[in-house]
Amino acid sequence: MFRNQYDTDVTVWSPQGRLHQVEYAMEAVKQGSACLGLTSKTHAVLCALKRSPNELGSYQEKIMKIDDHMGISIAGLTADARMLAKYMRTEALNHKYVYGTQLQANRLATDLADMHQRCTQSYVRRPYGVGMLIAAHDATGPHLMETSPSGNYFEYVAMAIGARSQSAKTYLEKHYQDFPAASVDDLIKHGLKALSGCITGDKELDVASVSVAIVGAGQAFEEVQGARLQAFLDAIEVEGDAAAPAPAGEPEAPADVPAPMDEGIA
Amino acid sequence: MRRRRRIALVGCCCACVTRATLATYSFSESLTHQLTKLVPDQAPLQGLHHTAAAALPQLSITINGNIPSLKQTNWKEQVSKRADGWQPYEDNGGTVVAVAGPDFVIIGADTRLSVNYNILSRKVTRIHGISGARTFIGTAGCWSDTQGLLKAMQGLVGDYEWQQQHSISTAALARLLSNVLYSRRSFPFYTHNIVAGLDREGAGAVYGYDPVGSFERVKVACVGGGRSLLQPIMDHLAGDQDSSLDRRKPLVSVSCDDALELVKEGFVAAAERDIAIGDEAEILVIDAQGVTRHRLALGTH
Repeated sequence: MFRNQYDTDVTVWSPQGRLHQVEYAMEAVKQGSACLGLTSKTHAVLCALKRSPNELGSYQEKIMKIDDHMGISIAGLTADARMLAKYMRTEALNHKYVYGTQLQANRLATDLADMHQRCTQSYVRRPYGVGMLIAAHDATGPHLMETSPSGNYFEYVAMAIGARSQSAKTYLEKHYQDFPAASVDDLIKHGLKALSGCITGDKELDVASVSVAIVGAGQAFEEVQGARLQAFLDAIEVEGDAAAPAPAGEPEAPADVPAPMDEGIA
Repeated sequence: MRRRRRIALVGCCCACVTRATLATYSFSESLTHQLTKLVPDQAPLQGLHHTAAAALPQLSITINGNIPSLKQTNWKEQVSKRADGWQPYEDNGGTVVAVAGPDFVIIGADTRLSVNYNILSRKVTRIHGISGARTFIGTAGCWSDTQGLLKAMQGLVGDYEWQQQHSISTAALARLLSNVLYSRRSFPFYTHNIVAGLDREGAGAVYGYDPVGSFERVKVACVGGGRSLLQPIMDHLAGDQDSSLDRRKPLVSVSCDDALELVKEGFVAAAERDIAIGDEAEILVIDAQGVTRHRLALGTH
């Protein structure tokens, strides 16, 4: 991205009708590592690639539970993501306190989108630098929603965000018609296969660096970890048919820019 | 209020009761034997109790805006002493009992909801698990305050668990409840509470409360309307209370089955004497294996 003379404040339009600061915030999301979500008729699955700053460090958690029926996967500034997760958890708890029922995910998504928008129209605030995939299950079934720093949100059957997510999106576009009828196990395997195209170089998916979570009918939001996750990784290796690695043309961070994790992006 | 009722009851009891149906309490008698002896004989007595008590109205003189007036009141009714007659509290009955053992804890409560001489429900739950953890709060007293208190606790415990990334310990929950109760010192929750769960070492922990949050870890606790009936019985389990070790980690030394048996017998006996206790007793046994719910049928009169 090039510097423009209209990008100093979020409250300044460019002559082309763009808010550059908002677009720069969306760049932060693209710098985060890939995460994706997909839904069937009964369940929603989130998969994410975790990053660690170096071999000594632990992996940054990308998937956060919000309530029994809802969870998120994040890409971008983790500090912003933490604040938003705290907000969402408090809202869900408050709703339960006042109404005695679970907060409907799309209501929360709308609320979040409004929060994001407020930061794009204020002189004293900056946009949130995090994109989110919200996976939830309510009386109308499973849902997958994406929020972005611009304040827009959409609902998807399947979606991927973050670095090298195009390869995952290609896989999802190819197979999405199989998702509605898929079993939970198949859904997770699809997610992992889609995710495998987002890794750099010749590395492979492994239990330490992959996060998977499911939510659905009769299934509270829960992370799949350890041996259970390893079983899925072994299964997709046997089955093959993983996503093609990201094409060479896809933009990657230039070498002289500090690594994303140093700037708090995961 | 309670003392006046007892005097009235004793007054009519002496006149009415001659039979051995109000059997002396005995440890060795089996539970079923007691039940069959007591229940069939109780029905005719009930009518007599009711008439006798009604025939002894309580008279009280109230000052209402400096004009003294003679007012006939129901012995149990919470009378407002305010000029505007505002009375926000209502005693909906209930009795909660808990016992802390070396590797178990028992908490039980009756399920009858009443106001004055009327029954509002035969099947309410007075024992509530907080946020999925294996710690329970049993509450007797005003039902609306019970619900308000528990909602507040659920919200606060939810917050705690998100922040701490850990389910709340029994000791922490106990202190949290005390703080919530005291935060309403000027307009108390009219609730009598017991917190029961396993402590961090797996031993039973029982905490008893007053309505404004004073609390203490104890071996056995009874709160609510039946407290005066049940506390002396439960104290049989407590044994010698004096050792300093007891104060830090008070535990009974009987087995879980013996303690449970006494809790059950206690509820049956209390239900026979106190009109606010009855219908069913819900008793939970919490140990390392999990939570077991026992339901004990009590008299429905």
